[in-house]
Amino acid sequence: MTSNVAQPGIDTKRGWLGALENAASQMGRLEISLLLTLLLLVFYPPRYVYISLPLSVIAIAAIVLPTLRHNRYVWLFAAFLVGAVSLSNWHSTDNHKYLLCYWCLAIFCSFSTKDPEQSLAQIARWLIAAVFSIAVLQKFLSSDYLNSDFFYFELLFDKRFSGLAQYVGGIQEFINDLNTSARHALVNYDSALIAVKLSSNSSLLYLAKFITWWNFLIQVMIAVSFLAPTQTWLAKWRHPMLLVFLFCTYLFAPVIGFGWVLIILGIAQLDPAATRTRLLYLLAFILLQIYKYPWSSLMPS
Amino acid sequence: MSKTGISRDTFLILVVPVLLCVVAAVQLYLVDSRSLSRWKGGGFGMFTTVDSPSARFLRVYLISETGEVPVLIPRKLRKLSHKVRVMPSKERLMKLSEKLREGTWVHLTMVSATQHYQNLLRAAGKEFQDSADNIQYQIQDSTPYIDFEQLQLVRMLGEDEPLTTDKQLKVTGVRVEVWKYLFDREELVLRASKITHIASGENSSDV
Repeated sequence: MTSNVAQPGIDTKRGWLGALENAASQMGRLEISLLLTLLLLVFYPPRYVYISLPLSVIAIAAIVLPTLRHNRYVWLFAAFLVGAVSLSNWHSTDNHKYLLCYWCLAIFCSFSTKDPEQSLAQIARWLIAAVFSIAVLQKFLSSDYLNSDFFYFELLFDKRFSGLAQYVGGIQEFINDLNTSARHALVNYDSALIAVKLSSNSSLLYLAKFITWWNFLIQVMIAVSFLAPTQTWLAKWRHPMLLVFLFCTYLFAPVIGFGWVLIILGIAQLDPAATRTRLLYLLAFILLQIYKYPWSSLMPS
Repeated sequence: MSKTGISRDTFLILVVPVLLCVVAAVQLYLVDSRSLSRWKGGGFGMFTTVDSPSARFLRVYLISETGEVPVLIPRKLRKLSHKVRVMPSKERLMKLSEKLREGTWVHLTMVSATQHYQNLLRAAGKEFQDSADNIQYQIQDSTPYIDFEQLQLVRMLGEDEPLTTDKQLKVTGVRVEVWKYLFDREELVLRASKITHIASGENSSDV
């Protein structure tokens, strides 16, 4: 027998959390996947105006008109636009633009099947499995990833990691300036230099090793869990691992477009009863936008 | 169910993941055989290696009667030069080299903003003469802070840009080198390594 009297504190929290879960579960996973993808096309289209303009117009129209977003040829057209511009600018196209093209194509394919929602869920699973398996393979094949050289270099030079390098790795600002000048001296058009010496801090290596293995192992676990058959215990770790990856990775490498695609792939294959997990994905969708703010600039130098 | 045993729905479910894998396989092949940067090409190799497109750079030299002159890539050739850096094929390198050699190169004459303004006023006609004289009056006792005479720069004229009074550089050849830097963590050194190069009139390349 449950009490009908609201208990201050506990029931209030349960109440608003429950209300949020109810709100998040009102839409089917297919519908929410389509809407989030359309938001992605509006906010993070390919940067060429001759593509981003028609894409955003179609996406806005499809957000407003359900008939349009359920028309498979709209998604085929979107896939064509994104794919064409990605291929013609292959030298500058980032990987998540390819993934966006595949995802629009996946929506087109799923609408051509008997059960679009179920088909899209399966495609989303295999896309995540493929992306992370290939990413893990790339790390194995790279000559400077598993030995931590890559992240050591990133901590020295990538501005997105400067906060981490400064406050955890102990790299002072003048060392940053020195290294940046060294690199500039090497690559400048009139340079005849073959090598430049850099400066660092002994504790940076431990930080680089930690980030390297954290990043590598979590991607291995995501790949394995999505490859494993759905009934196995490994598969139960799919969404927790992917969510951890999303919350941690994009704080330092805010490639929001990529993060959003992964979130949509996650939501598209989620069990409709997993409302709390869906809520976490939606929270990640919003949080990744907040991650764009240069938080490290607020810290004292 | 089709004769091959795969249903239409199963095919539609698998075709996109398979396409992803095929593109990634092609990318891996190009990384290995054509020096494609692992960061590009749809192989999901970003954040796996120091060898990103920004770790690759060009050294371009115009060969003239007075010797070799290092030059910046002109703005209109930046897209092509970026492609050369990301995947330095012989054909692309040759195309860049030819476009550089065919261009009209002039010594860059730099003047201060004040001098440039005065030159424009004088060229604009009699009605602007008073303004030009006024500028001259203001600067007659001042010493310029920057001595542009010491700068020796060359630039390539744009396609529709008319010949200027700047001295033209007679270019007999071009050498384009594609480099990348490698990070030696033990010695804390960035070490440049030449990927390939091409000289005008030659088809030589070292990988």
